[in-house]
Amino acid sequence: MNTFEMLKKVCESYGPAGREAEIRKTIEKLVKPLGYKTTTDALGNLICHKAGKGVKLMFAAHMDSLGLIATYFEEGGQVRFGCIGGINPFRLLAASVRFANGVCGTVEKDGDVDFKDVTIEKLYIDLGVQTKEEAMKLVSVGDVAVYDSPIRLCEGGKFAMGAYLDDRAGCVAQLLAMEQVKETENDLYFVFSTQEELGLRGAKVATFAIDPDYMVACDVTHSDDSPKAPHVGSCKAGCGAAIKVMDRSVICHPEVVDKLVSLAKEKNIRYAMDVIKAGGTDAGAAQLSLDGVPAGGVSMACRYTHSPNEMVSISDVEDCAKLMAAFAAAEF
Amino acid sequence: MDIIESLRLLCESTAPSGFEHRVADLAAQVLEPYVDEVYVNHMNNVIGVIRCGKKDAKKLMLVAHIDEIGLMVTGHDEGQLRFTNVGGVDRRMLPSREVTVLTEPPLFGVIGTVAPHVLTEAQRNESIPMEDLRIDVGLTQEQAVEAVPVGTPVSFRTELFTMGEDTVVSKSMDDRSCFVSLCITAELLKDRKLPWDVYIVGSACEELGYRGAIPAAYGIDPDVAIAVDVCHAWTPDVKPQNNVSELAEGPVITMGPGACPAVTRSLKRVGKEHRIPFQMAVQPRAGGTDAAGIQIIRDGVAVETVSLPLRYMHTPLELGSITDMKLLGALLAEFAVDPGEEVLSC
Repeated sequence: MNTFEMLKKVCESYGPAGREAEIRKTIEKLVKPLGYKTTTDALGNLICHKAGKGVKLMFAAHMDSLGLIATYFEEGGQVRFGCIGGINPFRLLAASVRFANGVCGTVEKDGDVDFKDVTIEKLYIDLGVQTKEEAMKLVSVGDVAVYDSPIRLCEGGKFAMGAYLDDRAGCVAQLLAMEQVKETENDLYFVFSTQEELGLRGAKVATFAIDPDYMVACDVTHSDDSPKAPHVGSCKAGCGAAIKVMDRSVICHPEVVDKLVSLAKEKNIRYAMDVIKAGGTDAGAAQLSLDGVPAGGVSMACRYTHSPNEMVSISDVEDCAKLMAAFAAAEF
Repeated sequence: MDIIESLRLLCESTAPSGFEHRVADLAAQVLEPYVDEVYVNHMNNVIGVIRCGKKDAKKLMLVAHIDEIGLMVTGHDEGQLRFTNVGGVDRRMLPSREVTVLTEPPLFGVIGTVAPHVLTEAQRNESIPMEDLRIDVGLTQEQAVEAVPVGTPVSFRTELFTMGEDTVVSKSMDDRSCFVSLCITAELLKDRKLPWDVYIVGSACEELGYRGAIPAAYGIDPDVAIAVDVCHAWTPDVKPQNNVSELAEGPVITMGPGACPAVTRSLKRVGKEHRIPFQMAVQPRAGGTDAAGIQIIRDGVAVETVSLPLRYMHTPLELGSITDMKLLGALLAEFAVDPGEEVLSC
């Protein structure tokens, strides 16, 4: 399976925050041949361990996605919903969505609402039915819909586009790193974390349980390449592994940042320094765990994050994998 | 201890949140003569301990943060540096500032402005968005990209000075003046009999939401913790109902949900008994100091915030009073010696 095929498989699995069973099963299958001991904790984190006597290292990529949770049915069968994770209502208009049972729909706004006044409360999911009764046969309150945009390879083969590259691209990078990592004394934990989109909640408890010496989160970061971009981030898609210095949740421990930079230089891995003014990652939760964990991050600069069609450079995924594999086998 | 020189040493150090390794060793050095043990831990928290000599003693944690607000480089435009804020920087203070770009060796920089001659009347009265400002380091684009990587921290550049008999002006008085006050406390505790072990902590990353104090407190596992931070002292523009503190009239004891009532009561009693002037303030929320983070670690900690009045907070010219620092140091020392039974059973 090449990187793109792996992206397709992992991104298209169902797994909004709090409902990660299906995506966990998908990833567990891919982990199986790699020789790690796997456990699932109470919050659903998939923890993959390769024991060693050396320094304890934890990596985390979150496997949960955004979602729309059904809250109320209108008489005409329209489904009102709340957001799981940070979703801009404008991104939702006309999005294709699907529920865990495969029921699909599209998101639209109330008839009396102007486009510029759209809020989540004024949106609904249309399941292609005419009555409340029909809708309630398909979907129940509490069911969660996800974007139904397939992962496609853009012309030229450089970029993948589709839903939930945030952070399934990170999951793929981590899977590749788990495969590539050389023989090492280091005690390695690779976590596919849950509920990141709700505030780094899975990684928080996973870090507490693992108690690592160092932690590296693999996630997406902002790509600063729209025309007239106001420069809210420092990296552009295709820049290689984005080595995190700061986001809203963390200022990475200088020791971890320096280590990642020196490994990238030594192994000739393309990289760029990553500062973003918004967004958080699992590193933010890890650093606050126990008496503090020096944490850092490697990321892929992602275009249109949290929209139904995100875009990530495939070579960035591979560069992140190489850098994580190098960190996993590094001497401390 | 020489208060002004300790302040000068620490306040002129350049250590924005996340880069406390640039000041932690110096802070440990200032504290070292007055404690049994001091070390800088893996998260760059400075931790000093004064032991009472009893086995399994209770623990008091006194904490002041050693990080400072600052800037961080996010990109390069024709040799000039784009930047973002680290912590709550007041953007009105930015134009025409001298800064230190914390490369190795550091670079001088100035935050450039457009000359007033070419501004419209309306523009002259506007504050400039941070996105539109750049740091000029006198380099070409090629040189700047090479010399100043994205992610480089930037600090305000101010030399500490005194005014009148009692006031000190510098950057980073928030909160290194409080750390120095805790060193005064430690000095006053020399040869005093203590009912508990006293931990004096210089915490990292407070400006970003107490990210240093939370793990530090987890590690120490204190019974009582007091965060020592700055509060707003009177300035000519405040209204009476703002209930701000007065400069040079003593430390400020906080009341509210973010303060354990037993600790508040004890501090007031200690202040009265030892004739140490103090002021009271009300904080209706959990509070914005390390205490708010520490209160909910492990199975909970009895916390309090005691503040030092400060003018012009979060600007490069913060003004504080030596008298207040001495009074704050003394209040916490007497509290540490005699917290009372109610507090010791917290």
